[in-house]
Amino acid sequence: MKDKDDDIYTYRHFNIEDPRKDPLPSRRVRRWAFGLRELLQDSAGREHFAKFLSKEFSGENLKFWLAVQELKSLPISRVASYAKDIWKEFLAVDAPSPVNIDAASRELTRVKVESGKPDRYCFDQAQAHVYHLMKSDSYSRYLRSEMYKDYLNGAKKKTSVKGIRSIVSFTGRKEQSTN
Amino acid sequence: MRLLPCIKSYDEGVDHSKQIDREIKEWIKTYNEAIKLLLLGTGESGKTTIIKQMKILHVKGFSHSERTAMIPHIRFNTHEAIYEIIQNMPVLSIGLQNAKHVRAQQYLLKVGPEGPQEYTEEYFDNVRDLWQDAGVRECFKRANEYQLIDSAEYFLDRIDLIGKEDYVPSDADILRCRRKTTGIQKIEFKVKVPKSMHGGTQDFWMLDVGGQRGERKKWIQVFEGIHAIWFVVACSDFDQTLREDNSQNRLKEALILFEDVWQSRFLLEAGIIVFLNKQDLLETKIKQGRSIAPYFPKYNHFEASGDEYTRTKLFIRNLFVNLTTKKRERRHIIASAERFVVLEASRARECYFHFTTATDTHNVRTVFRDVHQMILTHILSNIGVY
Repeated sequence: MKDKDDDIYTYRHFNIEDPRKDPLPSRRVRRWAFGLRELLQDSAGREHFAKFLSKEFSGENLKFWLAVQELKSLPISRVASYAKDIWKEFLAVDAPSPVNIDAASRELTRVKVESGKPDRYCFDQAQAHVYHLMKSDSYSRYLRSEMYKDYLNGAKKKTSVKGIRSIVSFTGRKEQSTN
Repeated sequence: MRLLPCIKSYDEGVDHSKQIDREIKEWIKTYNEAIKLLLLGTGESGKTTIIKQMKILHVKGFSHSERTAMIPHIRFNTHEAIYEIIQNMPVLSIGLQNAKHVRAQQYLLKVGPEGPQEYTEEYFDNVRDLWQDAGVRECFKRANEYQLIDSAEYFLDRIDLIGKEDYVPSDADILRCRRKTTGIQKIEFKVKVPKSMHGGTQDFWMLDVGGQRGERKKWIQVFEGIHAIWFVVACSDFDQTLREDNSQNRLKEALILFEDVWQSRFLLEAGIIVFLNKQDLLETKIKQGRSIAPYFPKYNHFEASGDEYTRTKLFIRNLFVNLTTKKRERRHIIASAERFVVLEASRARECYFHFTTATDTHNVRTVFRDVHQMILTHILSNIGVY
């Protein structure tokens, strides 16, 4: 886990290298299917899954999960301010990347974050909720996706891992993808 | 070159006819394009269930491995159902009727919200015992006061089947399996076009989205090029509150959301079809004596004939119809030139309504046929063929 950077965007996957350029051992990639935990433990797995999620417009789940993981490894002096950043980014009413959790988990988390000094574990329930959401929805689709299968096969051919983004001409992105 | 003038008029004719040919080709091209449908609606309205039905009706259905992959999800549904009920018994001051079940209750509470590591025989025995308890049933009847999945009763009634080692989920089980959707997914399928419409096959793209508040920010990114919106409403939700906000009535949220979608300037070109879904659950609820009136007092003055269920479903449809006939008066604030043009150009739009039960394949087949016909007619009339 990276810990050099205290901003929340550490794990944004802007410049992910195409893994097919330098294929991983297939044994390693196959492990990703054993469970979401396995996938997330592998840095290449995390990156690939992040890419998949961004195609499905649900990248915020993993970003939140990773941010909370990072929080747990921070020195105590930085915990409170980082916790507040996480809250603002993912949970506040006008959060730019809201995660989809139930009212009870949100309220419980809000009390912990807002009352006095939030500790490393203040997001545990929210994190478990988001983990379950990724596991039951996105992860099972990921394992069945062409994207994962192609990665597993170490396909050399140009694969058509078309994301939803390619079917809508969403100007900015379209230009990027044709470059 | 001098001879040409006499041919010129002839040339123009050719040009014109070529022009028409080109246009026809263009029309056919758009006609052959995939029809893009977008499923919208609040959380737990039944959008993903429609996707599953499309898989059953128009793709290959569910393979054996896909069925077995559903087992943990279905078992987890059973767990979250019973766990939620027993957790809310003290909240609603309901006790167990049979003292013998206290041990089973403690067992389950100890398992926790995430479910057991392994679904053992002992686990299922405890769930079965509890589900028999009259206190548990009483708490279940008041499920609208807390958050319970709609298929709780369906799965708990089938606990013996679900607990079997060689359990293979049926289509009905898979359709009722509840999993929250996050993000946006696409499925593609082909449908035979009736001969009366021109035969052949038609490609469809259907987009499914997460329905809870946080998810809705993402929707706009797929609005472009959508032919029709299927707006799904859970009609049986009238006495429940949102999972993401316990202070908001679910049906009221659906109405607000529908109005936003109806008025969105990004969706003016899209046809809108409202699926008044969960009619089976609505009927059950009404027949158990629940009424929509405490939540929507206007029901008391609603005039329609028929039994309570029929009146309720017509009333709910009316709530949505009223929003489509309402003048566009909201959001005058953004008075940009662009917005002005859009408002000028906005024309009378029709909105179509269907009463549906998304878990019923037969019902969805019929509705899909109607909607398909409507979309084809719409497209053909747009290009002036039909």
